[in-house]
Amino acid sequence: MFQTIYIEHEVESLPYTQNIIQHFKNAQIKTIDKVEDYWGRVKKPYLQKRDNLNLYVGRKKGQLIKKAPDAYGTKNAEHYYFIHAYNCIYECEYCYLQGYFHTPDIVLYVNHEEIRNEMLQFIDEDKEVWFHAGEFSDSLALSHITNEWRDYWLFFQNHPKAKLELRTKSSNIKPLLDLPPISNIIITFSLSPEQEVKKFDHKTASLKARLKAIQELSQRGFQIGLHFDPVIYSEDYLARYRLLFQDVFQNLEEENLNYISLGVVRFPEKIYHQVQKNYPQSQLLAQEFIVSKDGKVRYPKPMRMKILNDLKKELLTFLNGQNKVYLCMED
Amino acid sequence: MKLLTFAHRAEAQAFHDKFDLKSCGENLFLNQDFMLLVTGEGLFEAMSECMKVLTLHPEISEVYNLGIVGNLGSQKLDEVASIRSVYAHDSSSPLFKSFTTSDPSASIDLLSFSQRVKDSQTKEKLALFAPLVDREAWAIGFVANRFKRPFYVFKYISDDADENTQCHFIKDSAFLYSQKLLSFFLNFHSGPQNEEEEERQLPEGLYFTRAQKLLYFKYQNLLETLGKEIPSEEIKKIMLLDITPKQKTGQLLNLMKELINPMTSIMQEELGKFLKPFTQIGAQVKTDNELESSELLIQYKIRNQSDIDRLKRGLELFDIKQFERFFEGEF
Repeated sequence: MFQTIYIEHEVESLPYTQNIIQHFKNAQIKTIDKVEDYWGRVKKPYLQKRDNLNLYVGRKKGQLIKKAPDAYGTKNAEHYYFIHAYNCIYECEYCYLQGYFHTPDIVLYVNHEEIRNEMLQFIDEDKEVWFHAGEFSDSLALSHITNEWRDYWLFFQNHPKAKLELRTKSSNIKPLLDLPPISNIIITFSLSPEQEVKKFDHKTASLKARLKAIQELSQRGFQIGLHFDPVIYSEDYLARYRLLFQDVFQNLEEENLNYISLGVVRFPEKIYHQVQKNYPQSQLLAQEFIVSKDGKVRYPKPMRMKILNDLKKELLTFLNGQNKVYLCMED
Repeated sequence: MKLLTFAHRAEAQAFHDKFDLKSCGENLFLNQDFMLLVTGEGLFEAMSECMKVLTLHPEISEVYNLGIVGNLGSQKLDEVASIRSVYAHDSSSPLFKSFTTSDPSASIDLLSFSQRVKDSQTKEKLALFAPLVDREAWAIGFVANRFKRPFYVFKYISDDADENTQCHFIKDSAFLYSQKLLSFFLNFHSGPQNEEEEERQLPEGLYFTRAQKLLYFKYQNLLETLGKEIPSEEIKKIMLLDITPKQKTGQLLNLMKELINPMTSIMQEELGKFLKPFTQIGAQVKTDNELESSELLIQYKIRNQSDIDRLKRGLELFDIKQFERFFEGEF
C-alpha cells in the first residue's frame, strides 16, 4: 500500500508507531525530523496516490481540536472535529481532499493522549458536545493498524455527555468488536446506492460489506449514524435510494439508529476544478452545476431541494414518525 | 511544430541526424515539423532559452524535454522513462510548484536539482522527493505551463547519481543514449492520429465548430457512461429541419444535454409555466441566472391603458407562493 513510510524521530518508539511499521513490512522506512519538512512541501498530483502513496507518522502540533463549520451535525449541540490523520486510502471522485492538501500522501498522528487532553477543554457536562473524527480522513479504514480507538473508548466512558463520531466508508469494524457499545460513541457510515458506490467510491468497501458491518454493530448494540451524502443525481434517484433505504433498515435495529444526515453533492469551487481535472469523464460532471451564494458549486436550488425533500419524505416512512433526519449544509 | 529541448548537444545528436535539422539561430535548429533547442545545463539556462523560443515561435504546439538523468532510488538503469511529474529543489529546499506531463501512461517522477549530485548524502536527501534527478526538466515544464502547451519529458537513466558518477563516461556514451531517446520518441508517436479518428466518429450532414466537436464528444462519453443513446427518430427530425447544418448541430447538442440531465429540462419547463402570464403579454422576465433566489425582474413597455390592464392581469395570474415553493423543490 505504501512505498515509503516517513517517521518522525520523536514518535519512532511509540507503540502506535511500532504497530504501524509491523503492518507494512515491505515499505521502505525513513526517519525524519518533522513531517512538515516533507509532507506537502511540493505539489504532488492527487491521482499519484494510485501507484505512489507514502505514509507519514508524526506528532500533531498546534491546535488539535477545531470548531466544526455551521450546519455540521445535529442542531442544539456543539460540534468539533479533531485531527488525527490527513488524507485517505480511498478515492472518491467527489472527495474534497483531492484539492485540499498539496499531496495525497497520508499522515497519521499518534499523539492521541494530547488530543484527548485537549478535548477536556471543550467538554461541558451540561452541554452536548460532539467530537468528529474523519474530517480529513476515514476514521476506520486503517484502524486495525492505527489501533487508537480503544483508548478513546475509556475516555468517552468517563465523559458520557461528550459524543464521539467515527465516520467511515469502510467495513473495517473488527477493531471495534472487542469494545463494548457505549451510547455516546456513534459509528457513522456514508452510504450511496450500489451503482453510485461502484461508479464514484473507488477502493471503498462495497455497499453490501458496509451494510453487513452496520448489521453486526447494530446487533451488538452500537449506536449507528447514517450519512446519505453526497446524493448524486440520476434520473431514477428516488427508486435507487428507496431500494437502499429498504436494505439499510432491514439491517439496523431502530433503537440503535442515532441520526441520519442527508446532503446533495457540493464542492468548494477549487475542488470542483480538481474533479474536472482528475475525472474529466465522470458521470458526476454530467449534471449542470451553479456557483451558489456561499461560493460552493452545487445543483441549482430547486433541483437540490427537490432531491432532499423526496429523499427525506421517503426516509420518514421507515422511521415510524421519528424525525432523526437533518439536512447537511443546507439552510 | 514540436519543440525538442536538450541540455547538451551530444544528447541531441541522433535527432539531428534523423530529422535533418538546419540551424536557425544560436543553438536552435529546425525542419518542417520540429524545432530543436540546446538549452545548456541548469534550471536558469533551460528556462530562459525555452522562454525565448516559445515567445518568438507561437507555432510551437508541444514541448519535449529529453536527455540523461541520474538514479536516486532503485530505477532500472539503461532505460528510457516517460516522466509523470517534475519537482525542483534549489539545494536548500524543495520548490513548491510541480508540473505534470501530458503523458497519461507515465509513472515515474523526476526532481530537477540546481546542482550536479556528486555524493550519497545529497542523493539520499533528494530521494525523499523523487527517484530520478536531472537539472532542467522542471524549468521546461514551467515555461510550457506558462504558454499552456502540452509538455513531455523522456529521460534516459544513465547511472546512479552519487560520488561514482563518471561524467566522462557519460559524455563518451552520449550518442548511444541519444539513439535510445530517439527510438523511444519515435515509438511514442507511432499511435493513431486522433484528429482523423475524431472526424470519422462525427455524424454526417452536420457542421461542427471545434468547440461543438469537443462538446459532442463529451456528451457522447457521458451518454455512454449513463447507458443512453440518442433516439434515431429524434436525429432524423433534426436532419429534416430547414436550418443550417451548424444550427442542426446546436439542436443535436441540446437534445444530448436533455438526455443527460432531464431535471434541467423539467425545471426550465416549470419556470416557463410560472412566467407565462408575463411572457404571453410580451414582457421580458429575467430570473436569477443560477436559480438560487426567486427574485424576478420584469420589463414591460406601457404605451396605453390596455398595456396597463394586460400587465395587471399578468400580475394577478402570477402565483408568487407557488413560485417560491418551486425554489424549495416542490414541483
